[in-house]
Parts: sequence; structure tokens; C-alpha cells
Amino acid sequence: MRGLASGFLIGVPVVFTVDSWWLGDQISPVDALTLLAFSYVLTLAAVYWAGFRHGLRRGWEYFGDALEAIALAILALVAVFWSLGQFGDGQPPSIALGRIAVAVAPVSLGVAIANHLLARDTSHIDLDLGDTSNVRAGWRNDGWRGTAFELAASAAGALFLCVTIVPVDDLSSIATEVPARNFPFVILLSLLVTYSVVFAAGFAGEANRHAATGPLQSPFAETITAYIIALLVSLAVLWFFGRVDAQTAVFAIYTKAVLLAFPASIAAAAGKLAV
Amino acid sequence: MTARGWQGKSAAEWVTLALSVLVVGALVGVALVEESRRQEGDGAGLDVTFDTEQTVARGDTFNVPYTVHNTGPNAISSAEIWIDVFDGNLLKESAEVTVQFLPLEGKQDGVFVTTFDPATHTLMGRLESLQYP
Repeated sequence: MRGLASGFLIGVPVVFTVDSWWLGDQISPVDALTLLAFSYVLTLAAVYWAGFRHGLRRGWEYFGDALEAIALAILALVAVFWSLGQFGDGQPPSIALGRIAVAVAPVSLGVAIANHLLARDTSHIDLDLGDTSNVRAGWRNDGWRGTAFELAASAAGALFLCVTIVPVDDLSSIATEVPARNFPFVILLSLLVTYSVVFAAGFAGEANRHAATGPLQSPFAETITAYIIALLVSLAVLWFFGRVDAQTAVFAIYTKAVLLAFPASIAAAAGKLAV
Repeated sequence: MTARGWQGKSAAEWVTLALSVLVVGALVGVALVEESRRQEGDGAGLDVTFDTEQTVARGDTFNVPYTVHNTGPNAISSAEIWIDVFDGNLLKESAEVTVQFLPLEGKQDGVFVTTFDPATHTLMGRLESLQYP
């Protein structure tokens, strides 16, 4: 679960670049296999140096770990592309193959470095008690102040990702390719991944989050609020860059906001973890 | 940190590894099957089919749904197709259609608008030119 969450964090921007879809549509199966092999080598290097699991591994176990990271990345991409209506539904297997091959490297690298992207626990870190973020971390248990602090962190995380996706306007192309019936699946996947990142992936502070009693700090409420914040930030960024305005049809606004809120909600969840 | 041998692998880790081999193996298998199908294909396979039963009449025109299917061994970056409308052997109308970014086995749906009723006329698509990526 930690690997999947990390893979989503790293790889989602690539998935939301329509050029990567078109590239995947055009490459031959042999090219796809070459990309897959290249991704495996990269992942193997990351697994060896960063460590996919706790403790030292031996010899061929690194190869097995890298294979697991690649498999997780493939499953994550299947879930994302399926929710976007790009697999099945009469689509030829070569399209699925090509799109997975193009996007698998960043996702598998994200899976491989899960332990380093976001710490499992912070006990090994020598905290600088005078550091501003550490001083503010004490607010987390301070009722509404802590809740506001976390909401701000979620918004910052969502904003961080939105401003990297919206300016290139691939969302318009992706929105035209996603069937209308698939948007509820996108929302569901967004909520599921957001919950996983904050409460199920074993990142730092998970036990504290489960035990938190402040307002909006139950797992369900935190997941929903992170998603709503991601939606609001998505709408704001879309409006700021002129991708939606008062003349835009309501359904077009809905499709773009829901699509953008998927990566934004993952980043919002990561923002929570960062504090 | 401790070094662990393969004897220390738990059942869950073995299952995870086996499932991973299955997932990656399935993807490699799909690639090999697709590659063999690709090599069996001809040089420039592009089929145009018309679904005349779904034709919608709008005033003096008829909207005929069509599908362009890439059956060749390569993805297509652009294709020019002529759609001809015949009354018996007599060519009544021709129109050019351009299709872009058609992947392997990819399909592109569209609507051909004509003033001739497809129930009494024959529609045929013919390939004019192809560009590969």
C-alpha cells in the first residue's frame, strides 16, 4: 500500500499528460517491451540504493523487489486508466500496453523509493526544535487551529501539483477522451488513494492520525475534506489559468475539476503528511 | 539493520513475488502476442465501414456513421480517405476524410454527411495516403 501511494504521487503527472497517451498509442509492442526492460533496470537501481523493504537484502532478492515494484506500478496504471475509461470498452490491447509502458518508469520509481519519499516514521530524524515547521507541528493537536493548519497544508499540496498540470492544458484533451460514465469511478479512486496515503500506507504519524480526536479528524472526514479542498483548489487554478470561466458549460467545468482533483487530492494527502 | 537470507522470506512475501511475476509476465505475454499479430498484418491495412442502419435523416441530408479501423502492422499518424457515393456504377459524390493518430488496431468513429440516401446508394471508402509516426 505504501508503494502504491508513493507510485501514485510520483507518476500521476505523467499519466495526466496526453502526449504520453499518444506516444503509448503509437509505439510498437517491441518498443513497449524495451521501455519495460529499461524501467526494470532503473527500478532495480533505485531498489538497490534506496531499499524497497526494511533491512538489507541479498543478491537476487533485489531483483525480486524490483519486479514487485514494477508489478505494483502496472496495477496502479491499470486502475487509473480503467477509471478513465481507457482500457476495455473495445480498446485494443496494444493501446493498453503502450500507455502502461510509457508511464511505468516514473510510477515504479515512486514505488521503489516509497520509504524515502515520505518517511515511515520520524524517530531516526534528529529534529531541530527551533525549526519553524517543528514549532508549528505542535499546533496539530490544538483543536481548530490544528485542523486549519492541516487544511492549509492540504491546499498547498494540491496547489503544488495543480500548477504543474493546468498550464499545459492537457486536461481538455483528456476530458474529451473520458466517457461521462467514468467520472464517478475517478472520484471513487481519488477518495480511495487519498485515504490510503494518509491512513493505510504506513507513512509517518499514521497512528497519531487514527487516534486524533479534533474536529474533521476522523479518517472519513479527513479523506472527504482533503478531496473537497483538492476540488476547490483545482477549480481555482483552472479559473486562474483561464481554462474555465463564466461562459464554460457546467459539465465541462465538472469534468476538468474531477480529473484534476484526482492528482490534486493525492498531493493534498501528501501535504497533510508533510506537516 | 539485519541481513536476511531467502530462508527468511515470509509466505506473504512469496505470494507477493509470485503475483508480481504473473502481472509482469502477463504484460510481456500481451506484448509478444501483439507483436506476432503485427508481423502477420499486411502493409497498409485500413478498413472503412458504414453503419447505414443507424443513418439519421436531417432535412435534405443524411448523417451516416462510419468507423475507420487500422488493421495494419503500424500505428498511423495521418491518413487521407476518400468516401465515394455510387448510384449503381455512377459516382455521385466524393468527399475526403482525414484521420489522425490511429494506433495499432485503433478505431476512429465519425459521421459522413451526404445528400444521397444510403438506403438507395452505395458508400465506399478508399485509402488515398498514409503517414506513419
